[in-house]
Amino acid sequence: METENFDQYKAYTNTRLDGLMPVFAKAAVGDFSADVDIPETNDKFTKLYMGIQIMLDVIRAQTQELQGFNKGLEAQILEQTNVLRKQNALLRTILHSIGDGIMVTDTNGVPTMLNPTARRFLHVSSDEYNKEAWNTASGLFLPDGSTPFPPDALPLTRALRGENVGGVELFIKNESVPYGIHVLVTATPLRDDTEKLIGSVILFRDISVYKQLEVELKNYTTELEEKVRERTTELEQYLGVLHQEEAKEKALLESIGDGVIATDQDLNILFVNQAAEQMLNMPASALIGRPFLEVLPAQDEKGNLIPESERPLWIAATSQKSISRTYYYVRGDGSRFPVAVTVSPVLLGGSVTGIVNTFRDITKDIEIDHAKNELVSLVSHQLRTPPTGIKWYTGMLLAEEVGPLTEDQRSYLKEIAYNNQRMIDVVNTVLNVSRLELGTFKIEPVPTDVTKLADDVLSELAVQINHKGLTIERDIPASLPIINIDPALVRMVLQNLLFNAVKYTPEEGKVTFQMEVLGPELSFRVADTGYGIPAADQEKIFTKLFRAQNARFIDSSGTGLGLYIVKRIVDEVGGRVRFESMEGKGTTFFVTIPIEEKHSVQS
Amino acid sequence: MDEIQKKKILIVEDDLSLLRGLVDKFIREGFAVFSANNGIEGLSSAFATHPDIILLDIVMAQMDGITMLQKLREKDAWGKAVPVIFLTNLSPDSDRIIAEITQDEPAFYLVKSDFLLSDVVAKVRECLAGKEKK
Repeated sequence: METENFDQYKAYTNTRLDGLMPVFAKAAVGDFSADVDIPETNDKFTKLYMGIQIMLDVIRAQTQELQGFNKGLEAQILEQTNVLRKQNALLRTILHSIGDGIMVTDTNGVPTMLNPTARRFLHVSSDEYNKEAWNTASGLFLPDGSTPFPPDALPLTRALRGENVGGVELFIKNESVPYGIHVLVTATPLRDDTEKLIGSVILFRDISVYKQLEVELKNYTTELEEKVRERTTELEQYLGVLHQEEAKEKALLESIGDGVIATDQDLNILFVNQAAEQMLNMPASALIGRPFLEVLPAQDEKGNLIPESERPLWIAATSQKSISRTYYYVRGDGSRFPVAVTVSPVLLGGSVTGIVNTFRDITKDIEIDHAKNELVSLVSHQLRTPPTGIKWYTGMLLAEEVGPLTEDQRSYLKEIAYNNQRMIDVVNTVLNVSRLELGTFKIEPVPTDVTKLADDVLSELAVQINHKGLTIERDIPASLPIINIDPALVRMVLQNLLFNAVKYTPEEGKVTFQMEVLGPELSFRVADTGYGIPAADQEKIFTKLFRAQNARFIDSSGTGLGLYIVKRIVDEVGGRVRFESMEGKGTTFFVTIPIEEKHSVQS
Repeated sequence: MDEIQKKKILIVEDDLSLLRGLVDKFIREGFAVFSANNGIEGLSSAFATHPDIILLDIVMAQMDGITMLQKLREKDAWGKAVPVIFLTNLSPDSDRIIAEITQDEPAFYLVKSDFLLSDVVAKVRECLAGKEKK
């Protein structure tokens, strides 16, 4: 539209712009709620109005958005604040209930917070903080309780200098704390988030109780040390004694004339005494640690090597029994010498922990034995010869080979023969004992008719039996087998037992002989109704030359060797003998003899 | 009886008293008896007379019975075969005696004091009858 004049235009423009005034007025105070009144004319002012309306809409929309956003933020803040409040409450609770004292100070050391425990320690009421800076507070001492704590070294001071201080012991004693307490103090600098120092946090713990315990412990330890010292002295004395004993024992071992070698349970040598060194001609150092059976081989008389499983050391280790043997040791240089060896296992808790081997050079003993042998042979030979002559001649006279005899002559000759036979018997007995002791008897089991053997012996005694009117009860199974036993030795046992039974039974008495074969053993029993063996003498009845009191009374001429021979023989063949006897009633002997499987066995 | 009477026996024994008893007895028993006092005499007598049986003592001077038996057996076939009875008062304990018994096999080993002369005669007869050379 064209304007006629400028004034009309100005008035039109003003009118159009005035329509915006209310909106601007409101907007100026932040109220964007008014809308622009859009005229119906369609000119540039209309576009302006529309534009402004659009702006208003946008502003309104954004404002709403912002408001919404704000509300959200507010809610968040509220939430966070609640959380923080809760945390704070928790921290306060912890702080209040914590057993340790916590104190926060400012940069001058003046306390800004004391938790209840701290206040309790320091006897400070809740209203009043001790405003005095703690680093100048009196009443702080070193743990000794008397030396004042140097102020520069106080944990608080150090923390305020920026140092982290841990575990310093202090003693606090002042008007508030008259009895004094020991505390353990930890001090840390307090910084803000720019790392600027703004104070310190002091943690302190009452360690009075611990200190007390420490003192008590120290006393206790001192006491204990004293006791230990006493005990140690005692022990040293005791050890001294033990060492002395040990030295004595060692000296004893060394001075034993026999060789002594000790091994562990694996048969390695642990100890060799001097005598052993000398006999073997080897130093202990060459033997210790080595296997015994290897360094010390053994041979029998003939020079055959004795296998390991038959060595006494081995047998003692496996059977846990002591064992004695004689054979020859072979030295390092090949020479050998005869030894008598005794090996004993050392048992601890039922198992073998070591073996002790003692041995003796018996070269001399063997020489003496040989000499004894010779002597015995010679002497018995000489002693037998004259009685042989008497036996033969009286025998021929009694057989009337050189003429008839009167009754008296016969009778006297019989006496001579009888006495002569007694002499021969004594020589035989003594010779047998000697042979048994020297071991010259070699046990030679051969197939033997024991029934015949027994009957032979019984018939030898027939004269005596008849003379005394004794009853003989003979109980032998009819079909006793031929068995492997040494007839000479068994004969001697039978002779001695039957002879005794006949001798020590009074007239009209009874002698019972019972024999049988039971499994691998020959077993027999000789019983009499004779004088018996007094109880006091029974223990010794098998010992050499022992005669029971009543026996001496009955017959003064016995040698006391008969039962000794029986026992020796039975022991040698590996049998058993025992007896039962009652004085005045009689005696029974029980004997078992093993029957050999092998043909012959050396004794 | 005549047969047996002709049997020759050599008795080697150094104890004169015992020797006399033996000689008297065997003569009475119908033997032809020869005697010697030691091993040396015994050997020469044995080879000279070839007895049917020899009674041999052991302990004798100059040569003992064991040595004599060894030499007897070594000498010849007859020496090896002739029956010999050791008649001694030594018990058969020594290794030497046992070795000899094993090696040269006397018929018996008799300990004199265990036997009457009649027992010895019985043993001799047993030996001759069985012609055992054990």
